[in-house]
Amino acid sequence: MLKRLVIVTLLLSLSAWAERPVIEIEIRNHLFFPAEIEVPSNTKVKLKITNYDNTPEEFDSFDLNREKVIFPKRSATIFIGPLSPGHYYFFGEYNPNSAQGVVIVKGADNAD
Amino acid sequence: MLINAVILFLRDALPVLVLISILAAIIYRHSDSTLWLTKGLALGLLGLIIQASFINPISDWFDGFGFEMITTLSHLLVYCALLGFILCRNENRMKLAVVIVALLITTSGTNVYIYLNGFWSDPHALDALLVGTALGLGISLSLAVLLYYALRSELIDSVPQLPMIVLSLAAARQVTEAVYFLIQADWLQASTPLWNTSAILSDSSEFGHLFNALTGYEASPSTIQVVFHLIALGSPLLLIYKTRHVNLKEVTS
Repeated sequence: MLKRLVIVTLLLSLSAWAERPVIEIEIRNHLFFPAEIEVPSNTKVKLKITNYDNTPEEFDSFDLNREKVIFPKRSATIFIGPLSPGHYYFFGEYNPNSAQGVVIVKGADNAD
Repeated sequence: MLINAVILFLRDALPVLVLISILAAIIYRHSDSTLWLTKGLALGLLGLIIQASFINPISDWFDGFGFEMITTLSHLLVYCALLGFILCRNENRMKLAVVIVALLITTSGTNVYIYLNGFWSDPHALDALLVGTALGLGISLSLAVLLYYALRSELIDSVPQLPMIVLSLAAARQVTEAVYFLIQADWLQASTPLWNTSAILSDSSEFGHLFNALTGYEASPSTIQVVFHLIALGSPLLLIYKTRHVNLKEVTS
C-alpha cells in the first residue's frame, strides 16, 4: 500500500516541465522592481530574478514558502504556485527594510 | 542588519548545532571522545572553503539551481548517514558522525559565508553584523547545549530510545529540506498547501525556527512534503524498533 502511494505520488509529482508563465524581477539598490506582481490562481509561475547590486540578496517569503540566494550581477529562477487568490508577501532577507514586495494572486473573486 | 544576522544564524546554524548536540548526547553514552567532532569540523571547514571558492559557477549549474542541487544532495547524504548511524555501533557510528558533521558544516557554512562575505566590506554594516552574528550564534549554541544536557539527563534513562527518536525527527527534516529545494526548482510538483498553521506557529517566529530545526516544521506544507516527511520519519523509527528488538533477543538468549 505504502509502495503504491509512493509510486503514485512520484508519478504525480514529477514535473512535466511544461512551459510556465515567466515574470521578471530586478533587484536594484536593495529594492525589487516591480515590487507588486500579479499572477493567475492555481498556476505555477516562473520568477526570473536578476540582482544588479554588488551584494548578494536572498529572495525570501514565508507566505510563498520560498528562499533563494541571488548572487551579485547574476540571475536566478524560482517557481511559485499553484496558489489560491490572495496576497503573498516577499522580501530580501539581507535587506528586509527596503527590499519588499507582494505577489497578488488573481482568481475569479478578485479579478479586475 | 543586526536582526538579519540573528535570524540567519537561527535558520542556518541552529539546525546544525541541534543535530550535532543530539549526536554528541548519543555518542557520549558509549565514549567520551570528541575526535569525531574535531575531524568533522575540520573536514567541514575544508568543504566550506572549496564550495565557497566555486560558489558562482556552482550557482549557474542546472539552469541556476546548482546551489540548491548541491544542498539537496547534501541533505539526502546526511539522511542516509543518519540511518547508518542508527543501525551501526561504536567505531562505524563515529565515522558516520564525522561525515554528517562535515556535510552540515559545508552546506550551512556556505550560506553564512555568502551573507557575511556580501556585507563584510560595508563599514556601515560591520558593527551590526558582528553583534548580530554573536547574538545569533549565542542563541543557537545555548539552545543546542540545553538540548545536549536534556538528552543526557537521568530522566532520559527511563526512556533510553528517546535520543534516537529525537535524532529521527532531525533526520526527517533533512528529507523535508531536500524536497523543499526540489519543489522550488520545479523538479517535484507541489500542490496547494495541505494546511496552514501560521496563526498558531509561524515559520518566522523564534519557536517556528526552533521547531523547524528539531523536526522540519513547516506552517503550510504541500502534500508531497508531508508524504516524504512521514516516510523519512518512519524509516529510522522502524530501524530503532528493529534494532531494539534484536538487542532484546540477544540479551534474553
